[in-house]
This record gives sequence, C-alpha cells and structure tokens, in this order.
Amino acid sequence: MTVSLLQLGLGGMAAAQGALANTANNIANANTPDYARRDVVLATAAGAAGGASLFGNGVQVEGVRRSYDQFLAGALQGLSSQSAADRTRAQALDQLDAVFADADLGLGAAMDQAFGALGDVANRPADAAARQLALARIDQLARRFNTVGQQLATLEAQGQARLQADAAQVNARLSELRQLNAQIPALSAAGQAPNDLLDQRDRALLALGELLPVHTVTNADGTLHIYTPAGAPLLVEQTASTLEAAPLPGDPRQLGLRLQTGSASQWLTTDALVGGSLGGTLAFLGQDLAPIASLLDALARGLADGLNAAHAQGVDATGQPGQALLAHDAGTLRPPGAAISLRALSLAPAQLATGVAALAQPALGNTGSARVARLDIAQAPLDVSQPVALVFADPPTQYSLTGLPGGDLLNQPYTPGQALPPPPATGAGWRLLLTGTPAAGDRFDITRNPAPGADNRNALALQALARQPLADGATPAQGYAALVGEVGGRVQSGRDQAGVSERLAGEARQRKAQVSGVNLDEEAAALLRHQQAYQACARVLQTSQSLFDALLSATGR
Amino acid sequence: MRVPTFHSSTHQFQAIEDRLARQARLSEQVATGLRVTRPGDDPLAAAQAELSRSELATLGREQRAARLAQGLMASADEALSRGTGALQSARELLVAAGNGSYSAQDRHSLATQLRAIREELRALIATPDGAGGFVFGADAGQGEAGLGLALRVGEDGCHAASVDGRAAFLALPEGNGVFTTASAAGNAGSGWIGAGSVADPAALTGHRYTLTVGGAPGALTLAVQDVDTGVTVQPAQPLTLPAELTVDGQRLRLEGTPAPGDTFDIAPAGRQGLLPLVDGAIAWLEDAALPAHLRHEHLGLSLAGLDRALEAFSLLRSQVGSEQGRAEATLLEGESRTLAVTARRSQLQDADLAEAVSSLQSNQAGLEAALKAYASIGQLSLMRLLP
Repeated sequence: MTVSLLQLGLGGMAAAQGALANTANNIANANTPDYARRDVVLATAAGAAGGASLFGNGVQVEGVRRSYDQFLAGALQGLSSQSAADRTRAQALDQLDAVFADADLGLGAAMDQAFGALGDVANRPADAAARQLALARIDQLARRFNTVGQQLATLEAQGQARLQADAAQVNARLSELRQLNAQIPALSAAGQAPNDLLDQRDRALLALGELLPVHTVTNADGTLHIYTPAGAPLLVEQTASTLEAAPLPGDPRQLGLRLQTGSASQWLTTDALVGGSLGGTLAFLGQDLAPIASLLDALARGLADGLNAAHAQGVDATGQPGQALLAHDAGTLRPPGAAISLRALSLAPAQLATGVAALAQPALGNTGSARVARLDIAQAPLDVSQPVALVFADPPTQYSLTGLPGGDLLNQPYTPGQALPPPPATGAGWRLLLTGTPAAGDRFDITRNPAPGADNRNALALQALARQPLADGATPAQGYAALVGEVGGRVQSGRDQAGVSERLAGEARQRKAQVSGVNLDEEAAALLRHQQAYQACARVLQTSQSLFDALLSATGR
Repeated sequence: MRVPTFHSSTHQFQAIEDRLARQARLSEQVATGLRVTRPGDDPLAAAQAELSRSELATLGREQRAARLAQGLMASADEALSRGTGALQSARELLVAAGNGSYSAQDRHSLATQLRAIREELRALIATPDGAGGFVFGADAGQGEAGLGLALRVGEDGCHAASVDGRAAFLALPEGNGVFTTASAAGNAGSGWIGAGSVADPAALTGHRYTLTVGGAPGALTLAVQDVDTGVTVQPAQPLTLPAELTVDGQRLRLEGTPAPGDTFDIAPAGRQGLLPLVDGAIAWLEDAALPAHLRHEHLGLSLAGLDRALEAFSLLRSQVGSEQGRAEATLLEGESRTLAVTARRSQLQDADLAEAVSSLQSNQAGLEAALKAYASIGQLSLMRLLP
C-alpha cells in the first residue's frame, strides 16, 4: 500500500507539473495573435491489471487539447478575406479621391478659364494680348487634363505593382503550407496532435486568405488541400501551384493572374477572385479606375473635337480657315486607344479664328426695316470668291439670290424668318436670317469679310461651346461635375463597404477568440489550482514516508 | 462568455483609434473652413459645388461683356448728344445765313464756323472705343469707310459693342426724305423752288417730274410733266408767284421771278453722307458769285438735310439707349445671381464652424474618457493577487 501511495503521489505531482507547464505556456503566449489556448486533458490512470483495482491508480495526463473551433475559424477566414479586399479597394479609392481634391485647381476651373479667355477675345477680337491669353489658357487646359491622366496612370502602375508583390507573397505562403503539409501528418501519426504546427498552419492560411480567397479541405491524415473558390488547385498534397501577374494575351497593358500547376496554366478570372487584396486591387483597376478614366477621356475628346470643329468654321486674321486647336495623342491608360493626352497645337495669336469668312450688310439705300439677324454656317469652308446679292422684289414677298456658286435663285417666295438660301440648297455654305420687314427693292450684299481679325462672330461661337452638349449630351461643366460625383460616390461606397466588412471580420475574430483566446485571470486561477494540487501530492509523498518510518520503527530493534 | 485578454484590449484600443481619426478629420475641417475638400467627403455636395463654381465663372464672363457694352454705349450716347448739339448750331448758322442783309464777308465767316462744326462731326464719327477701333463701326484702320461692321458681345451676342452708324452718317435721305427739288442748270430767271413736303403719302408715285415755266414775262404759265411716264400731269396754267401746288401728293412751292423756259426737276430722294451735306452747305456759303435765288434754294435743301440728320441721330440715340438699358439690366441681374450662387456654393462646401468646433470638443472629451478606461484595464487582474 505504501508503494502505491508513493506511486499515486508521484503520479499526481507529475500531472500537476505538466498542467503547470501548459498554463505557463498559455500565459507566455497570451499576446500571440491567433494562438489557440491549450488545455491538459487529465484522466484517471489505467491500471496494469485492466483497471479493476479497488482504490484507483491515480491521475495521468492524456494529452494537450487545443481549444479550436474549425467552423469559427472558417467563418473568420472568409470574412477576413473579404475585409482585406474591401480595405485594399478603399485605400486605392482614397488615392483616387485625392486626384480630384482641390476644386479651384481642377479641370473644371481650367475649362472655365479657357472659356473665359475666349469670351475676352470675343469682347476685343483685335486685341493681340487677349488672343495670346486665350491660346495660353487652352494650352493650360490641355496640360491639366494630362496631369490628371498621368495621376490615373500612376495609380494603375501602383495597382499593377501591388498585384505582382501580392502574387509573390501567395507563392511564399503556399510553399510554407506545403512544408507544413509534410510535417503535420508525420507528427500526428505519433498519436499527439502537433499543436504548434497547427497554429502555424492556421496563421499561414489566414495570411493567404488575406491575399486571395481560398477553400480548404482537411483530410483524415491532417493534410490540407487548398483551392480557389472556382476550384483551381493551389495546394494538393505536396504540389503547390505558382501564381504570377502577367500581361494578358489580348491586351498587354493589362495584368492578369496566371496560376501555374505543374505544366498546366490557367488565368484566374475576376469573378473567381472576389476577396483578398488581389481581388480588391483587381476590382479597383477594372471596376473603378477604368470607368473613371474613360469618362475623363470622353470629356477630353468631346472638348477637343468641339473646339476644333467650331474653330474650323471660322477664319483667322489672315482669312485662312481655323486650324485645329487641340490634338489627342495615344495615352498609356486602359482601355486600349483611350487618349487622355491632349496637346495644344501652337498657334500664333493672329491664327485664332475669331471671324466668319462672309459678311452680310444691308445696302445703304434700303427703305425697309429688315436687318441681318444671323449668318449661320451650314457648310464650312464658305465660298466667298464672288459676292452674292439678295434683292427683294416688288412686292417684297419674293426674293432673288444672285451670285451663288450653285447657280442663282430667282423669284423665290419669301417667308419672314426663313433662312436664305432655304435648305437643302447649300449655296456658298452660309444661311442668312433676317429680322424685320424688307421693303420692295431692298438689297443685302454678302461679301468676303474684309477684316476678319476684327470680327468676333466665331469667337462668340467658341465661347458658346461651354453650353453645348460636348460630353455625351451634357455640357463640359456638367460632365466634369458628374465625374466628380462619380468619383466621390465610389470613394464613399468603398469606404462604407470597408467599414462594414471590417466590423464583420472583427466580430468573427472576437467569436474565435472567445473560444481560443487566453484569459490571464483564468490562467492565474489554473496556476493556483495546479500549484495546490502539486503541494497536496507532495504532502501525499510525505505521508507515505511517515507511514514507512512508522512501519520501520514498529518492526525495528 | 469568455473574455480573452489580448483580443479585448485590442478591441478597446480600436475605439480610441476611431476617436483619434475623427479628431483629425474635425480639426482639418476647422482649419480649412471647408466641410467638403474631396469628392469622397460628400459626393453630391462636391458635384453641386462644382456646378456652382462653373456657373460663377460663366456669370463673370457675362458681366465682363455686359460691362464693356454698357461703357461703349454710354460713350456712343454722349457722342450722339454732342453731335445733336453741333447739328443744331449748324442749323442756326444756316438760318442766320438766310438773312438777306448779310454780305459775302458775313457769309464767309458763317462758313468758317460751319467748318469748325464739320470738324467736330468728323471727330465724333471716329469716336474711339478704347481698343483701337471705333464706337460707330468696329474696324480700326479703315476710318470712315469702316462704318457698319457692328460688333456684338456677350452670350449669343446679346449686347452691342459697337453701333452701326451708317444710317446716320453715310446714308441720310436727301431733301425732305421722299423727293428732291432743284432748278435746272440753265435757268435764266431768278426763281427758286422750295424743298417741298409730302401732302398725301398714298398718292406718291416715286416718279420724276419736270415743272416747266412758259408764257411771257408778266403772264407766266406752269406745266408739270411726269418724266418717267411722259404724261402731262398739269397742262400749262397761269402762274402767280409765290406759287404753291400739289403734284401727285407732293406739295411744291415756287418763289422769286422765273423766266419763261425755266425748268425745275423733281426726283426721288437719294442718299447722302453727313459730311458731304455739311461740305455742300459750306460750299454755297463761300460761293460769293452765287445768285441770291439759288442761295435760297440751297439753303432750303441744306436745312432739310440737317433736319433729316437730326432725325437720324435721334433714332440712333434711342437704339443706343435701349442697348444700354439691356446691358445695365444684365449687370444688375448678374450681380444678384452671383450673390445667390456664391451663397449656395458656400452652403454646400463650407463647414459650419460652430458645429465643427463643438464636435471637436465633445470628441476630445470622449477621447480622454476612452484613454482613461483603457489605462485602467490592466489594473484588475488575478495575477496581482497571487501570493
């Protein structure tokens, strides 16, 4: 019996020692993130003779159990993946936000200054300083567009660099997981779960999940198979795939993600990658940056085409038709062919086409009240090689146009407010509109403009472009305001989404920590408990010793 | 429910971080005075503020054009008022020249005064617009010949920046505006015909007529023939001078003593320039050899011409006045609209400073409380109580 007392005491002390060691390990790892708390599993010791002894055989440590709920861990995996994606997208959108930050230095202000300068030229068409300023402001507008385009291109480059860096990170994690896949089954076969390795694998899996969304399958022998949500294999047994960011075959300027498994490779589509920072970056590049860039491009093209078209309808101070003011060059931003690269062509101040080639004047002897309201341009360039005369017959319900390039129009009926020559006749390319009532014999002469440098009619048309629907049916100012609103809306929604998914991931982390986290007070209580148990078992040994002493003194001489 | 130590302390610190972030955002708002600096702060307000800014720039552009138009129309109006004064003094000079007791010397001095008025009128026609051009005709460098190219500025050319002065300076109607009268060159007698007036506008034909004096001295007759149709409108009738007759709606007056065989021509009125009109008046004033009866005739025509000029100036002035009124209305409306749009822009993007400062202070208090709470977490622990 004393022998068994000794055994019992020793057994208890050993168990308490093991429990204390485990508690110490828990306390030491209290601040280690993603550490799963360990519990010692104490059980009554099995006896040598099949466990049928009267008083029991003491306690033994059966093993160390890791507090881990795979369902909670799985939920955290998915939510943290989503949160990483939203966070990456929100950060990139914040940078996009900064591009459109200062309203007074933005594109809208540059457009207004350009139109304002054109208005000043319309006020004083013969002033060379006003013309020079107008050309300078148009140049400034082109540069401002280019600056914004450049900033968008920089954001794209940063996103692509991030794709490459994250793909390299994925490969590193996969190789780490592959090594663990080799080690864990070997140690599990010995009977005890390799808790540290399992913790390490959890950590690596969570880090991988923050890069791209994964699905995992745990096998009976403890190995893990990892797939993308679409089913592409990332890690199967000992075969780890390699991920790289490579230019797409269809469009070398875009980067896509290619998964190489052995000798086969496949492209991961954006639909499959809804999660992780890779998914977030791809979402930003494809769904946010590309549409904003093409909106900007549409605005730039509309403005350039509108200005060039209106300028070409007029003539400059030397009588030459207006040349192009702005040119687009091929840019570096998606989609292919998108040109956010405007260039203001260098024109001399005298080459600003402020005038119209033809001038309509009433003759001095007119007795009626008819006056020239407008000379519209139906087809540029105008043919001013010969003067055209508009004469009203007696009574003035008929008119004749003589000198038109396509042939004279004689004795045509006249309706007040009618454009002459009436469509579809093109005549010399212009259409004349009169106000008032002509008298019999009234005459209007349409001749070449003798001083186009002092004529401001085309400058008025250029200034009026600010109210024309140049940007997909909206005026330039409305188009830019819509662009700003679009950017702001995306930024705000990205921020909100990131906030929501961060909160969800935080709650999942909390639920997991409730099961797996270390509570120092709990460990302190365990320390106390096992310390007492150790002391009690030591006291058992002491009792066994005193029993033996008593026996010896009783039988000794 | 278990409370894991590590997780709960990081979770509590998150609240402090959120407070710090909000503090930073609020102090930026207070420092810049703007609630919306980036589109992401408030997308709708950012877009609307952008539109307001653009509208302010457009209004500024329109104001510049309207101000230019108003200034130019004011100087045109002032020039025309001076011109009207000059024309009236010219008229007075000519009326004085009709005094029969004046000698050639007196008329010559009147002509000199008329020359001075002519120079004044010439300078007025070339009133500069401050940018190398002329108010009455936009083309610099062509002088009087450039009159007529009217410059319009502003949105859709709604304001006039120069005035078409041709009707007043280049194309005045001759005579009474409808027809002119003249003695034929070879007349022997000393009769003259007045400028005439319109008796019945409906009866006007626009044809040329010839009045022929026939008969014998002392028993003169007058016949009127329509030159264009060849019809004799009035056969020879006894003529007593001074004679007033009406031919096809045109009232004519013959005075003096014409000789038999004298003819007088009536023709539809053409156009003459203002300066040639004044030059004509100076010419006959200085012509000492001009017979008195022809002087009377030229006086009548010049006076009629000056009356036409005064009418044209008055018409032009009313046009200038209406343009000026339009420019001023645009300026006033633009000012009030600018104020409204500026207020709207401020409402959209400016920070309510009182609200921001009070939020800042309440956030500060919350931050202090959170920091104190965090510091006290570690105080209570079973670890401290273990022996």
